[in-house]
Amino acid sequence: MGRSPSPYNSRLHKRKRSQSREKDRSRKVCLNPSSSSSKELRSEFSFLDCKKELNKIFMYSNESNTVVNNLEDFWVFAAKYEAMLKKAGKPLIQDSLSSHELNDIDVPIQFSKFHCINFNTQIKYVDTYSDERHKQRMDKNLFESFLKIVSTYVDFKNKEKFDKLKKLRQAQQDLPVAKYRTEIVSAVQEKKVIIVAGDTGCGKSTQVPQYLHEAGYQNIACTQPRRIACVSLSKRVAYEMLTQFESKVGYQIRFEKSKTADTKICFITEGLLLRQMSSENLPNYDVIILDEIHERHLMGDFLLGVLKCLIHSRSDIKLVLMSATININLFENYFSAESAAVIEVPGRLFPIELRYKPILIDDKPTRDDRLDPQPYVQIMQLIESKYPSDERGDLLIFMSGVQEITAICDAAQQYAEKTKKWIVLPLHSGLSLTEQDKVFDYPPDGVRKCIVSTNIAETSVTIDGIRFVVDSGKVKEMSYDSTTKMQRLKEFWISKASADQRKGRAGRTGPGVCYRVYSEQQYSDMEQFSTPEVSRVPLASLLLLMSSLGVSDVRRFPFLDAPPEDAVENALLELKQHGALTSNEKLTALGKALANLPVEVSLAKAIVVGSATLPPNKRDSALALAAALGIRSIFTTRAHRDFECENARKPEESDHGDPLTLLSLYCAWLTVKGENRGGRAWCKRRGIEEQRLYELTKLAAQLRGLLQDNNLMETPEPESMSSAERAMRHGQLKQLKDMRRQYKQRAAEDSKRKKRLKVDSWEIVDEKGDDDALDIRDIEFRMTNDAARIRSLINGASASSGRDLIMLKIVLCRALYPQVAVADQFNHCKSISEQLYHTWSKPFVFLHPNSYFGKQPRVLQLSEADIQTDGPPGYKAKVPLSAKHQILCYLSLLETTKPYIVNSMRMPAAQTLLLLAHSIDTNMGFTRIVCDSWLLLEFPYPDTGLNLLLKATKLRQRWDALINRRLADADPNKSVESELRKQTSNISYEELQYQLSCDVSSYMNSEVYYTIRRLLPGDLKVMYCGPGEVHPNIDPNPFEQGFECHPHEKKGGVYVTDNIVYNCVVDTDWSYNFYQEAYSLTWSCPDCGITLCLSPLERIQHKEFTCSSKRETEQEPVKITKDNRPNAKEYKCESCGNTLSLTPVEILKHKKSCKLK
Amino acid sequence: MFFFSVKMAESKAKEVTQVEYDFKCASCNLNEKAHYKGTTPPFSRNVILKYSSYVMKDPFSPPGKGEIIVLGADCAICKKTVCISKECSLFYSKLFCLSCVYDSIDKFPVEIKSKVMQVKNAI
Ligand SMILES: [Zn+2]
Ligand SMILES: [Zn+2]
Repeated sequence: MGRSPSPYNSRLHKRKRSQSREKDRSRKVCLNPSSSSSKELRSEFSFLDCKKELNKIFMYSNESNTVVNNLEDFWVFAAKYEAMLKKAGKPLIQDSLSSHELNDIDVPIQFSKFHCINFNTQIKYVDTYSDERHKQRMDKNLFESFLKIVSTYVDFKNKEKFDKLKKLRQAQQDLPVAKYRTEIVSAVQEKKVIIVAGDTGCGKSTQVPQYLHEAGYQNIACTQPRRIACVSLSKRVAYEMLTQFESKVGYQIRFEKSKTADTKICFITEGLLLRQMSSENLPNYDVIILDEIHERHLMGDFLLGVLKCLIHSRSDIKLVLMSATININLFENYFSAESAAVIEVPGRLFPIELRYKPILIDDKPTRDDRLDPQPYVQIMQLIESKYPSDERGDLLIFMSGVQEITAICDAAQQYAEKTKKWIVLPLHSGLSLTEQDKVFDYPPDGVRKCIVSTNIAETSVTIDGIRFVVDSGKVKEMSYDSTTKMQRLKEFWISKASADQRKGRAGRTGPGVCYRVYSEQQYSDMEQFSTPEVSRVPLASLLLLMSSLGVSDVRRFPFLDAPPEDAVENALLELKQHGALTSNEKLTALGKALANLPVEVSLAKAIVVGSATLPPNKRDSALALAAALGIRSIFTTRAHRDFECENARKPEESDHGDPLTLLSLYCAWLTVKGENRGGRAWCKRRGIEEQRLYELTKLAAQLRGLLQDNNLMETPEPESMSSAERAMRHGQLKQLKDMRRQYKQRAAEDSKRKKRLKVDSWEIVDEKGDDDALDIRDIEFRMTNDAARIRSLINGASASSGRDLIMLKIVLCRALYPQVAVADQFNHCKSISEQLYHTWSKPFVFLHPNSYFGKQPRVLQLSEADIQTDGPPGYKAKVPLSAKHQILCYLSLLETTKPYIVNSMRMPAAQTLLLLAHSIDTNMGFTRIVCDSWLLLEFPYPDTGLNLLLKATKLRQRWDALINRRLADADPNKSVESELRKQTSNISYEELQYQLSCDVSSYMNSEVYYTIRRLLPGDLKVMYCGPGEVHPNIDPNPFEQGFECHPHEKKGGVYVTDNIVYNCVVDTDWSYNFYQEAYSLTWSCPDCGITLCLSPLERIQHKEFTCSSKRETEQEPVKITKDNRPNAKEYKCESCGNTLSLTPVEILKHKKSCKLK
Repeated sequence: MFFFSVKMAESKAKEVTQVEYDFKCASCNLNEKAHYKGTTPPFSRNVILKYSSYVMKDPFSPPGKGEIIVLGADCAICKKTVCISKECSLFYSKLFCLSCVYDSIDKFPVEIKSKVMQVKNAI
């Protein structure tokens, strides 16, 4: 024992020494004549000397009990206990001679401490052969005495646990909401809808679900706007319900759930509950609680509307709405038809002293509109002089945005360095979680925290110990212009509700002070409430979700606050353009598939189109790309400021633009992960937030799972592992699990000790280096992704060159279309920061300075060599004639200081436009083509425009057919017809994909010389012939065989496909001359040699339909037409003997006509 | 220690449906579900109680550890249920509610008397 190095034993040694001192003392006592020699011997005895034997006996007892569970703790207790007895001069071994006589209430007359203990420990004594060095061997009688100590310990522990339980119950009792328990429960029992209004800290979020569960409700859903809240609330409520080791209380969030069949209370995000609302998926909830509805998030508002409708058809569901005490009337009125009961729970708020304009502030804005931090520093000075530093209480400053926070932090820090009285901490959602967590740590005595925050600290993050609040009165909010599809980040005055919320933060733990840097007049001028999200965010995703949930007319949906009418109309138009809704606003098969994916509509489209178009081994590239664009930016604020970071990222930059750079960074990171090289340092060096890459991986996996569930992607066979591989993976997993356990232990220890903030370093005192610490996310990542899995992720996601790259780009571009931009014609003579672009909806936008092209705009410009200076004779171009024009395809527009294009990718202009434009208008000779009434392409060389357009049209038709086939195959209610087609079609799906990708990439690379010009409203007025002229039917129609041409009502000309209008664009002199020339020159068919005078269109008609050489190779065009008409199939007529390619309807017609003959 | 936990897992599986007792302290209103009433709690076999009590499995420890919480018992005199908190009861060979203790204070040893007076003064 003495050799054992454990600290516990060394403590024992100390004890032994002190014991020997005690021994001396007891010897003196022994002089007392009454003490016998045996007693003296016993007084020297300590059970601690028999620890080894006694521990053995515990082990033999074959039971797990309080002592065995806390062996070390027990021995500490035993040592204290023995010491206490010695001090009191009481014997350790009690004689069992004392009387057991009972009195008339059956209690022992003679007092003994052990009578005060309910516990009796029964452990069988086992004679262990202890070594003879110990004179005092353990025996049965001694053991009996020992068990009394054990019982005392058990009693002590029981009291400890009981007190913990009682304290918990007391805390629950003390919550303001507790007084309303019966009122709330009976209101839920009697009414359909109840509203519980109470401010933060009243306990509604944790208690109301419990009250209802205890009242007998069995399946309670409780929504939260934030994922983190779901997890932490479910943990807290499980603890309070004493079920932390069961699954009675669970949560369900985007990437994970802890819900099981036993779960009675489930905390769930608003978005997820909405997705469950499609009737067949809705779990059998008996109560649905919507928490924090005052925050007015898009999903929360919509959920309210959905539930308002639902409770009319489902009388078995009770609805409980919980909000802060903001705007209760709004909710009450909204549910007035359901006669909602309102229960208001007063919060626990201490008095707050309110002061307007504590410092004289110059209201005149500074010259460059920059924020002056001085008033804020002066308030810090004011606090310092007015309140003694031994009175605790921290400062919380509300600023509008990250830039403002940085400005204040810098100034405050400078000041703090002088006085050493403050620790300055920023707080906003752009910070990493560890950085955010610092605001919860403790400053040293005499030092206050100064937290400078966005409105994240208004409701989302609650920090205890705030005594002073400084409110700038401003907030930066995103607004959305649905016509230009541009988001704007602008600074606004906050609402009164918001200002009051901010003020309230000062009075949570004691009386506080709130300084408003604005005037009282300003306060009374503020809006009553903040603008709900529904009025300032894009609505397309929401409307699509509504449509897929069966809302027949989204315009008549009973929103709490109706969104702006034009926002709804524009969102519907966007959905129609994407093909998610038909022209009469019915959900299409594509729309249904898009609604299932929890990302923006255009990104969902990239995924679905990608899964239909890309070869199986490359489908992950579209998934990863969409996921990368769907999460928040992976870059830290340092990423674009620090030259080193920019340099470190260079090798992964793609000159195709930001989306592909993101993808290649992701693949590079995966490679690092696959080689077990950590990743944290790799990310740090590049200015990347690694957390986002984990999110990206999870999101891609979730999207993949959804595609597989919806039959849009094959579920791959699990890769078979060799037994050696399996063994290796097994060992690896074991190691990882060990590491995870270690991490959790350390984290538990860390959380026990308070984290202290240091004044000088401005950092948390944490001796551990950042790099060698266990990285729990890395461990968890490696647990779910083994080497083979990472390898397949990399293979699937990488698309750096060749056909894979072209296909991935065009897939993304098709999904984002019409979000394309063209360069301003004067860009070549402007500086980098002045490069201007124009989009269809918004002219004059800039390239975002952090984007790839923002730094490398020359990649987008034509070089001298690319421009053809002399066109065909008779043609004089005012704009450059080239085969290298490019357009930008972009994810979004964002206005901050200027309107910017964010996340852009370059594409060959004419090829992309002709393949994707919604409407294409052409003149008679196909030399002037207008795309989406916005961009004019001119093809001065004969036949080039027509050939390119014809190719684009055929490719578009084949591509559409492929996507439709994918969607039709995915449909669970497949028609017999489509099943039949599947069997009869002899070209496999993969083969079609392969052929298409070959043809698309050769098309995208085709070299055609043209000019490109943006049309202004004035140009458009004179661009079209207009109706009036009678147009001949184009028959046969080479663009789409069988398509019945009809005139366009406004532009003139005729439709030759759904999106091409022929002969509506007016000619200019050169194009008219070129057409005449082409007509008058005799043309000889390169295939059959026939010589005729034909217009360009007639030439194509000849080549496609009448050319004699064509008849010999009849087979091929039949094949092509089959592709074009997805439901056509080969049919061999029995009566006429012909083999034809016909649709089922045509087959019936043919049969009829054959029989008639 | 490892093989204990295996044993416990087995014995846990044997516990089929269990009766629940609604424990409510007549003095402080503490209201909990007890899993057992008696002197030999099945979840922790080394522990025997001197006086029949309400016992719950310890909700703060993982299952299978044999940890329990003794919540309280029926008063030996008036039979009212009380919890073990010293504001509600006194244990001396049996559990007594405090009002019964005050009523029969002379029946207890002096050591108990002084202890009770301390609590009484505190309340
Ligand atoms: Zn009690
Ligand atoms: Zn009693």
